[in-house]
Amino acid sequence: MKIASRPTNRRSPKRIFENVLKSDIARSFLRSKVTILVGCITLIFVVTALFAPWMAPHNPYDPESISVMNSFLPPAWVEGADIRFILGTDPVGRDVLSAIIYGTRTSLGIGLASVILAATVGVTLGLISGYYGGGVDAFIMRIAEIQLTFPDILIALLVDGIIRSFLGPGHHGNISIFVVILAISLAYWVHFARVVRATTLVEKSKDYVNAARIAKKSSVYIMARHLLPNILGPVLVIATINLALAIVTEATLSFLGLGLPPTQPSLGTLIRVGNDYLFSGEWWIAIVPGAVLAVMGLSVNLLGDWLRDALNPKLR
Amino acid sequence: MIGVALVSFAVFNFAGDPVTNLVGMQSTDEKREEVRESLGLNDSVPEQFFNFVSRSVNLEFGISFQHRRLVTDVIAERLPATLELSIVAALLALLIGVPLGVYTALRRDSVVSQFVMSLSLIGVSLPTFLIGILLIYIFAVTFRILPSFGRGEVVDIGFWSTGLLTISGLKSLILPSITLAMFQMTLIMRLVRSEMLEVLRTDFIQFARARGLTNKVVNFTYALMNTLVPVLTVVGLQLGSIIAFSLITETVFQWPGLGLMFISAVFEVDVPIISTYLLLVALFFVSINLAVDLLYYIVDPRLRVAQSQ
Repeated sequence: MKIASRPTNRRSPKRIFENVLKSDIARSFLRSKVTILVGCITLIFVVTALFAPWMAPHNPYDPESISVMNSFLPPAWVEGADIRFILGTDPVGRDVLSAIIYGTRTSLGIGLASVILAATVGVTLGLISGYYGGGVDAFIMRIAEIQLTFPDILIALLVDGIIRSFLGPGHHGNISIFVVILAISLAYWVHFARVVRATTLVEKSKDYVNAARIAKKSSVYIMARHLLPNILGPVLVIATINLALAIVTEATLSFLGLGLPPTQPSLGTLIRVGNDYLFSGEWWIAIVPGAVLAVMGLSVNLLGDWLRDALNPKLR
Repeated sequence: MIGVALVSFAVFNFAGDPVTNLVGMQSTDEKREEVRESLGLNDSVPEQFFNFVSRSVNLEFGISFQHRRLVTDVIAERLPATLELSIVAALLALLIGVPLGVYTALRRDSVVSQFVMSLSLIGVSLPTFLIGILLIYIFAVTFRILPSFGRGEVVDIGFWSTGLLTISGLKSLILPSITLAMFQMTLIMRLVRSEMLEVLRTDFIQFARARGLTNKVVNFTYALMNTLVPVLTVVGLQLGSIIAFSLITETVFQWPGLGLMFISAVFEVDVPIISTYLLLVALFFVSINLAVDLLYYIVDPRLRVAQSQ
């Protein structure tokens, strides 16, 4: 009876929680106060993004709740403010706080989508390149090298510009979200491909891969079932750091007017709109979303740094 | 380079219908056919590509839809603004970044170093346009001491119009160049710092100290000189990203350079400008990479030794 109860005991939620707390990653997480802070901030952003419609005090997409009468109200701590709009309102009377909450959702969403797309392309090409080697490897890596000599943001800008010039004017609106995602992921897949290739080269000479090969498993099976799980660590690190980069890139594109349209504002679009009113004294329209973007970029970046150190056995 | 030529050719050729753009919507079919023939659009695609390359070599890029002028003229007019901004920013980044890196490496635990390091973290993660907006808000809106857009007065020296000789030109250069230099500066600083820390640990530095050389000689002659080799390469490659970031800085400050031209060309789908800009940037990158390779060869004596053996 006693013996039989042990395995179930091990799987009880309390045990799992204790085991998680004892693991190396959790320990290194709890050791650094900055990491805890940064983790909390990121969590807040994710929660805000997920529950934007319930968290925002007003709905910025609902024309009925917007009144031009309320335009240009300053934040609550400045004189002449309306208490209903904690962070003030923009030129058309939208609540800045609500716009930021929805903007966070768009920014994070696009960042995640482009990182996932970039990771999928990068991991696949990296695996193929590392596993097969030879001509395929040389071809893929040569493209990657050429692309690496150009700065990421330039690639994203150029891809965005080229796609737009193919589409011609007037094709904006909904399609521009996909254009932005495509542009960003085309700029960042190289980071994934290079690391995955390097890790694959190390892993493929190990015994478990040889064993799978002797067992006559197909190459695709080996790559997907044996190699992929073993290279996920570094991929996760790059994904986190690239998420910060992607968010900033999207904001930059939107700020330049090449990203999202004002009807679907991301943080960058909000800053772009606010920039026009900087000189007439309505600073909060640009500065507040800017600060939110800066905090978001910085926290995801630091989280990535921590993850890199925590997953790297050399630094432990 | 050839790849980029292909891409910009593709953009040039297949993006929109250049005939409609040139002649306008209300033209007869005969007129269109005539223009089509004169542009060589009825040739086969490889033939067209060959023509495109040979025209590019002769610097014939066609007429900008937006400005209704030769693309080469538009670019020649915009080039000085961008070059001045980029060079000033690069110098600024070097002249501030290297000393700061050396300082933070030598005084690792001082309060100033810690402060500079945390500041640099912000410099790395803040997007360029946000830095620009903040600077505009602080210096142009709140204190009203520096202009926030344009180049100020410019002086024409032959074909080169410079803003470096007038006070208003110099004043309007301050904010954009700081914005552009910020990212490079923090990058150079962090690089110099980590390289310097590495070099300071090596045996030959210990030996130099044991010989009783002064700190000044050890730090600046031995350590710094050895640090500069990798730093130079990175700085050379970073020159390219200054061009990339100048796109953003120029938009924030309405600086009348190539970047602003490209952005407005994308808005207006001004295809000749877009494809020429692509070619120009590619040319720039290829020559920078070549220059850096050559520079590496000159700076690092070990490479020359390996060659002569």
